[in-house]
Amino acid sequence: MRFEFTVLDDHERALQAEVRAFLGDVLPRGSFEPGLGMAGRKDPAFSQALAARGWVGMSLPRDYGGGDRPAVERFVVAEELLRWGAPVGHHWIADRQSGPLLAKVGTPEQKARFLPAICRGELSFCIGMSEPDSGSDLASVVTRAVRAEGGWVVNGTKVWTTGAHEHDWMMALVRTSDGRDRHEGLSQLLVDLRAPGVEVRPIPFLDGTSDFNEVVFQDVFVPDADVVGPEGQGWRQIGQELAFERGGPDRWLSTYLVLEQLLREQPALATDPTFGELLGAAVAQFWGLRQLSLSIARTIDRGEQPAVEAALVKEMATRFEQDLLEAVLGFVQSEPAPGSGSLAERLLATAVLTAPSFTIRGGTIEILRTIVAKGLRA
Amino acid sequence: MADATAVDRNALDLFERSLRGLLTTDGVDVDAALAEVGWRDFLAADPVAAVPLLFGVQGELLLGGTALDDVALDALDFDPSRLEIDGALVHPRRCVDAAMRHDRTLVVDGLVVGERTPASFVVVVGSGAVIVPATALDCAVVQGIDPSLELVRVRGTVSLADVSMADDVDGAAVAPACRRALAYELLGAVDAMLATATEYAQARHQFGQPIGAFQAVKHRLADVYVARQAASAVLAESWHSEPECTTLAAKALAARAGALAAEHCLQVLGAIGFALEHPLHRFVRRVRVLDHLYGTEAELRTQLGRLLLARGRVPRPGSA
Repeated sequence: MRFEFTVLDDHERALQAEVRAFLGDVLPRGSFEPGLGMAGRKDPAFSQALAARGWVGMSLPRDYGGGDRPAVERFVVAEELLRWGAPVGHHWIADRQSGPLLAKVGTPEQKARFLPAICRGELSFCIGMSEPDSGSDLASVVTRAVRAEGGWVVNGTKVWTTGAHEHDWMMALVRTSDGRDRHEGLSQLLVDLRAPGVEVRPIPFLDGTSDFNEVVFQDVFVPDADVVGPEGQGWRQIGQELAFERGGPDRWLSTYLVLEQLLREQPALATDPTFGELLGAAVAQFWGLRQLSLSIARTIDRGEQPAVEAALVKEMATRFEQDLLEAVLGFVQSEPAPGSGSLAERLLATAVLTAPSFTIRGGTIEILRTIVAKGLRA
Repeated sequence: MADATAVDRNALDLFERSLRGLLTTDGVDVDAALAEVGWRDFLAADPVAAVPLLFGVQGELLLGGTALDDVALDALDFDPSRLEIDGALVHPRRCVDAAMRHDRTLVVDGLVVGERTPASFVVVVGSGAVIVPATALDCAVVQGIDPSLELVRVRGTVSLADVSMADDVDGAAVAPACRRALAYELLGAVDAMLATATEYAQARHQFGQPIGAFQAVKHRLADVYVARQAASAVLAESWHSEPECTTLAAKALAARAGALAAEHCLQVLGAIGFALEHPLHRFVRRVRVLDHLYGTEAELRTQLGRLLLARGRVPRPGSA
């Protein structure tokens, strides 16, 4: 497990300045309700405006409308978007993992069909992995695809699928055959969420959202052309995909805005020595996490797959965000109200109810710690 | 002595059973049910038995109601009905009184439980209490994270000439008594969360075994239980010695146990714990709001520290 020290070069810093200027222009502070990190609202118009600047699908091949740009450049853009609270919900998953997955293992036909639309910020994706009886033990999924004429017929249920009610496509992990061990025989299928037999049910959540969904497949037909990667190789593909998903700035920029906005609204905190201590501790951690995350991006650019490093960063980052939130709450005089006139309070009220999920979604910290522990033996 | 204990125990069990029977009915009017079982008489006669029982059940079943007012009034030694007023108690949101005197005015800012429209409010000020006409204050339903508590924030500035003093009351006894009751309620909620998570850990299978088989899960639940037991021990102590200090400690510990239970039980349940269709979210909300009444965990710790420094000594546990 290695984290090589790295800094942004002049070119990357110029990109950072460009994105900041764009955001200040298009989404001036106070003109929109910021989201907490990747829970930013879905706004196709914004995604498309971003795409017009070449900032969606940056890591995807230029031949298909992408930027062929390094992961670090994508990191720079992602960091700016997330700390601004920009509405990235529409393109986030497509850009972060579904697009890169198709670029890596997709057929030329699939790439031509999906990548350009992803790069234009038009197409949105969600992920179908968890099931009611398969959470941490993902290999135990029972959604099954059975051979049919020209494709597969899918039956089963996916759950906790963020955004399935408003996205276009799902990248679904299903069982297509039975291998020697249960990690063989899983495949990733592209499912059109408007196909007959697909039923999406929003699940109202503690934080007031209904973005998590249950998706039921009843005899849903998926043509051969929509199988992603070799049949039966889904487990290995997910491993790579999760590395992309886990090591990025999304994991440590979900509560940042709360801190920033609180300081903006209560400048007196700046002279409070106890708050100073919190700020110092938080900033030290942010710097550490940022460096680790940036290092992962550089590693990806070298063609490696830092899956263990990504697990470590997510474990640390999500725990840090929860602890930071608790510490910040100590400086708030009353229980934050969701309908408050203060943006800091609104963000805090949302964060309070959302933060407990950080250590669960995208891999529980128990699983991540196991991955890291296994990595230590290497 | 043994005989008396046996009778008491039976009476308590009977009381608890009738209480639970009444309170687990859908749409129950909690205050009416409590009146039916003679809760106020029980509270007056044996608070040491009554408070843990009722507030434990209240926390466990996520009830609303105005039992906290009864505890406050009992401690205050004040019966509003004797003055023919229906006074609702204004409880403090923080570690200070719900009302502060400034010369000839009173600044009120507190919470009333169980949304109602009384004719007047009873507010503790220092070692006394005042009765404020409801028309003199602004009331706003609290749209916080636990609407089921029906909290109303009551605020305003009144002239002392417009309020009446409650005579011969023990204002200083109210906060300790209410903190104690709230601590029992917090632990009731903790017990319910722990039961839910433990049951889930046994029933939910992943990787071919119940998730409770994994040490990481066991430890989380054990940590909650340890915190709960510590709070419970100090709560029991608070009836016997130094109530001013021990109730501060007890509520702080109970709030800590509540927060820990919310965190760990949510983690053990995974995503399902966040879904509104599962009851856990209601407990998560409840413990957060209970934390704010009569002082948050952090405020209580600070208050306790201040108190100990002022006294110049740390009281020995178990001393009178």
